Amino acid sequence: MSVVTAILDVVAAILMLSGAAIAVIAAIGLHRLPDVYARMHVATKPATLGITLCLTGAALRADSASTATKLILAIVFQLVTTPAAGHLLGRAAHASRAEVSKYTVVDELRPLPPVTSDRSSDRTSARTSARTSAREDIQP
Amino acid sequence: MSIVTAISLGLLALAAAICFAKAIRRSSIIDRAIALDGVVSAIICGIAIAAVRNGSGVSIDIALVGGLLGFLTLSTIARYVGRRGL
Repeated sequence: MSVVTAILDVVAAILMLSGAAIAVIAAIGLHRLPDVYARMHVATKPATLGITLCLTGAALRADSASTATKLILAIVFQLVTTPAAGHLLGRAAHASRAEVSKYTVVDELRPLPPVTSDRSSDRTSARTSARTSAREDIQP
Repeated sequence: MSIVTAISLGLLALAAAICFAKAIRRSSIIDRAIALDGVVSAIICGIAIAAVRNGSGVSIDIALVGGLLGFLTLSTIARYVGRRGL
């Protein structure tokens, strides 16, 4: 029995330390990444992965079953709500025309130009030509 | 286990301090919201680890409520920014 407890201790310690390390790395990335969207990408990592690791490690070391249940419930809430919040913030940033870094390859929320005559081209090729050329260049 | 929780709490305090420095520097409102969400997630992790350190789980409810309030805060700020611009 004590062997199982020791293994649980080691696993919980590794989980908590890695969760804290992910929080620190994401906080450094908030300062170093060039873009609102990239910073949002790095800021949702401690909110999902870091909290999952830390709270799983704490649930392995919890003193009672009710505490462990509350910790798992907190993990589930975070995993559900954090992507939704990140999506809302990204939409809001794009709607308020936040600046895009020069390394951005594709902007899929950019409004499509009107496709008038060429019905044979599907949506994917229209999107591709919309992002590689200006709006008046794709007119046939 | 006491040493491990101490190191983890120190790392989380460092992460919260770095995120808070990002929040109080001159940046846009979305950057501030993201940085404060980083502070909130560090606080939630810290509450769980402090519960392990103290050996009592009475403060886990605060972590639950904190997570849900963080989501409410972010969605409210997103709605405000999306309606009015930066």
